[in-house]
Amino acid sequence: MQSITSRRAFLAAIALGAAGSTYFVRQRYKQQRRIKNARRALASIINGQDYAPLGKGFVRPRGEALTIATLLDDLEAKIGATLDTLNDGDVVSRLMAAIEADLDQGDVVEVDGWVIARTSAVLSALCFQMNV
Amino acid sequence: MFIDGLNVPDNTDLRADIAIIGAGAAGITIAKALNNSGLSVLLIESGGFEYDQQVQELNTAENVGLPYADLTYNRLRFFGGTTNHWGGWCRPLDEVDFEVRSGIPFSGWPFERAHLEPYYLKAQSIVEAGPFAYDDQERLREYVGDVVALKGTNLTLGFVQYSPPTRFGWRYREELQKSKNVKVILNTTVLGLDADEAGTSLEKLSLGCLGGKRHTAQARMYVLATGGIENPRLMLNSTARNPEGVGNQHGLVGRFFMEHPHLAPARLLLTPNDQRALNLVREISSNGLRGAPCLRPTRGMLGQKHLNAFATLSLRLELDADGRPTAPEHPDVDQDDEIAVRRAVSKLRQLGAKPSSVDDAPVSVEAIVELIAEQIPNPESRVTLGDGRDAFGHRHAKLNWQLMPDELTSIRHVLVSWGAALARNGLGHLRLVSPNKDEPWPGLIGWGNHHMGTTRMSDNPKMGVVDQHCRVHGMSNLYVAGSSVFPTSGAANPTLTIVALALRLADRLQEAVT
Repeated sequence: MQSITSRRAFLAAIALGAAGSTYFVRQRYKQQRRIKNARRALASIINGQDYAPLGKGFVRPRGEALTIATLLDDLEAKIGATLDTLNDGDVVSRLMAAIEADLDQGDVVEVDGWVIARTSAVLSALCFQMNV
Repeated sequence: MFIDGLNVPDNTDLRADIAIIGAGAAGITIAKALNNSGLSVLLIESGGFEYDQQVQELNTAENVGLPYADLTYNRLRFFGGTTNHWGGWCRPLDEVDFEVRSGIPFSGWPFERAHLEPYYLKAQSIVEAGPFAYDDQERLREYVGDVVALKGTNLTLGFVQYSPPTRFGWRYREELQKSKNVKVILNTTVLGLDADEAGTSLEKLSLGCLGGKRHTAQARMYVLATGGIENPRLMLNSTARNPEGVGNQHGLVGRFFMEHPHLAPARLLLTPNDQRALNLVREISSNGLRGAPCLRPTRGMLGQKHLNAFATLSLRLELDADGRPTAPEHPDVDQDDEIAVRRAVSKLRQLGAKPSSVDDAPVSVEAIVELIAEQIPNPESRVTLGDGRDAFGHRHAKLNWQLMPDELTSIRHVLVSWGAALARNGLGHLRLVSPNKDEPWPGLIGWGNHHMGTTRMSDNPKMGVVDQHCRVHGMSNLYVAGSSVFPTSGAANPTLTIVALALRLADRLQEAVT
């Protein structure tokens, strides 16, 4: 009786592991696709090289905490949408609105002494991290 | 008329209705205001018409606080006083400067700014500045265009105006020379404020000349107008009847010394090809108004705990051909990145514009933000007496100027808020010179030779040396003029307010004597 129970538990664990593994692979793929789409969306509206030096200054003191995924989360929270659901015009207008809202509300950060909107900093950091 | 203490007989006893000690901006203004008043006025000046090294050295003082200007020379001891090297900047205090702010200890005046308004209007002509239009938005529009329609609530604009600058000694000498009721005695130093037996009113002034003569002066009312360091020094040195010094029964004389910290704490990268931004940088000379626009915090931004400040902008010239500073202020930033970052910042508001290569991005013009800030009134920042003695045997003043960490925090708050407002309005991007929030006071802090607060005004004798009429608490006939009575300093250069308060005091003296 005991051995039957152990065997069932063993098989259940394998099934769960396989499902989990599939889930993580799927998530990873989703994330990669999200990053790829975001990169494409940003590249179509700005020349990322222009902003990357500023993004480098933002990322430098903050270290590994600023992953591309967390930066994307921050940016999409600021614009209230995921980048790949918007057309170019909407991305620009939402980014500009987010930047103005930051400046109105004093949601600014200092990058090497420059006082800039948080959205501008995050956008620049993404240009740097994703090599837009 | 003028007389010279060196030329009158020894032990002359001078008499007047009102004796004014010190012929600087405050003393001369009061004497002028009382000209033709029917009251006899004696204006006592330690120096002559010209600078004299021996007299100047009576100012020698010790400094035990923050690094500061040489106290022997940053105030002048001859007719006209420190206006003889005044820079001429004028601005009235703001309404907020008179208010009690719950987050700023010891803040607030016993009256509102509106009470001083009529005197400001008269003071404006005495300092020979233009129309009294420091914050007039219509006039601002005339000079700086649409910049005044700022979005957001953190930043507003005003003017700082330039006096020629008026050298009070030269400008008003003839008027006092011709006066029938004002007598000016030169080369005569007040050695003591001699109180009566009860120590509640002055009986006379002991006077001395460096040549050795001694005189006395008796008046019904006395006005101490020798500046924010010499006023407390003379009160503390006058111990014949009051061992702790005249007016010092609560130990307040000399406390609460305030300066206006002067800093160049930020740079503004102006938006390229934007005339509105350039208008903020230029000086104005038109329709009788000479001055410059200045950045000011709004009342809402300051709230209850932040200090006042204002800033002017001047073009920064020390940039190389690529727009890179020739003397880097951020050595931790890779200098190869510097130019690229500046280009990035200048393009922050160009999202969606046609993609361009890095190289053709404009670098723009940069301005230096020159800021003047208010201090928190601090009883430990103070003037006391030192051990050294001057040629008359009087103890030197000893200055212990202090700054508090909250003051740096407040300045940063103002700058960061302005940074957001300037960017929001498309005028440019601000860069702080000292980006580390935890840094101690940077070496770049300067001062304005503005000596304030040491005989502060309060209707409560335990909180101030003089009452709202500038009369010393506990003394029936001794008044103080000058910025030593400021209980809070605001950020504005003090001379205009000194003159306005002196005019107000002249009215008060006339009432009191007649």
